[in-house]
Amino acid sequence: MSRFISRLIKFLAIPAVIFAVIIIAFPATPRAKTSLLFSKLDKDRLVENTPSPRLILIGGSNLTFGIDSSMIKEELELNPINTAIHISIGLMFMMDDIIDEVRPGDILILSPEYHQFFGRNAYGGEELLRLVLDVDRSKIGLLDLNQWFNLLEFIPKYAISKNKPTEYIIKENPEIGIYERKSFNEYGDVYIHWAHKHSDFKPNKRIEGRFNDQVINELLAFEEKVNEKGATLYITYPGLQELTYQIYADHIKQVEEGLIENGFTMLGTPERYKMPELLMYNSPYHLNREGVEYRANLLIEDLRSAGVPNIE
Amino acid sequence: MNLGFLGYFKYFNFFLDNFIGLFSFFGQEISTRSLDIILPVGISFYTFQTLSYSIDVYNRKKTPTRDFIIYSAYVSFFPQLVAGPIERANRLLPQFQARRDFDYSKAVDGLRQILWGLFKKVVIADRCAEFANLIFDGAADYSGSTMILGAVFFAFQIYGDFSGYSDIAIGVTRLFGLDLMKNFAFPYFSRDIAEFWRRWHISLTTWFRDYLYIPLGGSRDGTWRTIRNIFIIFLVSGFWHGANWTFIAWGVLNALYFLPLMLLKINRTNIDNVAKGSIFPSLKDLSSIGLTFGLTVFAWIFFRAESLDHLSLILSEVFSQSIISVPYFFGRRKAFFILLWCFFCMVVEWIGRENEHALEKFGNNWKSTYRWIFYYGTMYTVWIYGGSEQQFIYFQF
Repeated sequence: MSRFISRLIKFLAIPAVIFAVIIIAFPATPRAKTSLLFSKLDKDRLVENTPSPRLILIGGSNLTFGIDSSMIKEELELNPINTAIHISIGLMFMMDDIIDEVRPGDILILSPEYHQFFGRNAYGGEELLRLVLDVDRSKIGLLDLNQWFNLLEFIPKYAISKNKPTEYIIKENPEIGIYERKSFNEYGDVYIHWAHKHSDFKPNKRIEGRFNDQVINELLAFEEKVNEKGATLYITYPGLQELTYQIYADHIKQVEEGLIENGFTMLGTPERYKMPELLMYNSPYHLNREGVEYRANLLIEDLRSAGVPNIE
Repeated sequence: MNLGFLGYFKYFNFFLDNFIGLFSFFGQEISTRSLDIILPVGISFYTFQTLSYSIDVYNRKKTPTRDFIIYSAYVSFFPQLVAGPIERANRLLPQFQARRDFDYSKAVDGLRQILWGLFKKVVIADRCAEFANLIFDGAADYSGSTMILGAVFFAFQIYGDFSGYSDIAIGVTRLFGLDLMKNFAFPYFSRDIAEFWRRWHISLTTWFRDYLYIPLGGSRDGTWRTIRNIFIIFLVSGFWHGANWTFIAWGVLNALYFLPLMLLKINRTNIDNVAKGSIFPSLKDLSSIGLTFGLTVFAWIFFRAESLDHLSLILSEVFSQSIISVPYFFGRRKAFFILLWCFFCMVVEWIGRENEHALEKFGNNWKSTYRWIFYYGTMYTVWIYGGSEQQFIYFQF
């Protein structure tokens, strides 16, 4: 038995070492560098350079593909920054990442997808791993054990992806794809798809996992830090396809109750942000041009009702 | 009792729907609702496994065990619980009862078999499934030649899926120092249909032989009885796979394939491994293999079709002029690479065809470094192609 185990360890150690070397030594592949994850660098610059008064949008792709920040700028005379990229970056990382950049007077709008409140989704997935290893390694320190535990399963796939020849061959395409670094406008919204038609897609299945109370606790801690910095936090709901809304109904109710019971300042209701099929783009959280305008108007109305802008 | 559970869970709605259809045909409308029954995973497998124990005990071929734990382990042994091999009590119970010591060579061989099983499932079956599903689901839009290519993809899908699962189950069992029966013996190298059925899903075909064909009289009671018995086992075998007329049609077709060999008494011509001791097959063997594979691929169309209407749609394309056109479907370039992997799989299996499984002695005379490189390469390929997994086909049975 000991011979078997020692030989097995030796056999597995070789690829493990190779993976480790690839992860540590190899930079992001040329294909990875074109992906929407690399917009993080541009968004970080926006956060750094945008002057007050600022309105910072935080969330997953419901914001990336779901808002026209220029409308907010025009209507509310605030400088919007859409920091959202992908749901799988996880709510925990999103909050930890932005908090050091918050300035007095900032208005933070958090719009988490409903998934973030269930199971281990808030701790992030493959996109978070790629973000900290490919895009900005200085962010590795923001990850806690819970997040690393979630990311472990994606390490082999990540390491292998660096050996795929297709990762190094990029065909020049004059048309910008919707999931590229170049797909974003000056505020951080994906705008490329605004010219596209609605794509057919199926509604999502039920959300897996139990309600994660830890997410609420982390949100409370985040709100406290935001307040300490002299900024204000609002939480709003993602624009969600009506059919998927019906499937998620029980989960959405749990999220709404959890947020209201804990005294967060909410903008609107889940029902208000339920989106008819005509406003959808290619997934239950992604909106087309009309959807983006519709949602931006709802958010502007809700912000006004909440007394924003309240510039001193 | 065993068959009662199987009948209820798997066949209740089938019979109900067909009775309604039958009455409707004669102008009698019956208003009833079918039950929303969830089919337990692998019910056909463990039903047959427990059935064999009961029959053997009844026939006094097996002494009943008084050890509940051992019996429970036999019924619910996890590697083969949901998709076989369907083990016999005579083989497995004594192994549970005997003392076992760790066997290094058995464990290493088990790992090799698991690796090859994973390759067949992830690289061959799951990738072929993409194209088989694409073509079969859009049958109305494709030519006869494309449908045949779809059937070839399905042939590799079902082989990779089921034999891959069996390899994984047998390999895992070997890690525990136990042996399960061989379930596939390189069936696509068969030279006739009789040989194919001796090499495909061996645990099921031998089950039917021992508990159905022989008790019915086998081939001992004259020609008509033999023909009847052959049709019965192939019909039951088709029905075992699912409550759908397409499976029954598949069974009948195989019976028709098998019957001439039986009547001409040439069904046991090809008992030995093909091209034993040689590297290449003879031209005669090669043509026999090709013909048998062609017949099998045609039969898989019946197996894969969703319904009799779907089957007739596909057959109308296959037997039309479009059979001589160039196959055309989305993703042909990728499909070509998948076919290359199928070819690679067949080459490795050809080399290992005289062994228990393809990798048993593969590269034994190589330096261990080269052998490890081959294993790493296989693992790497499995990882590369992994990700969008498909459910094992035989879990539904």
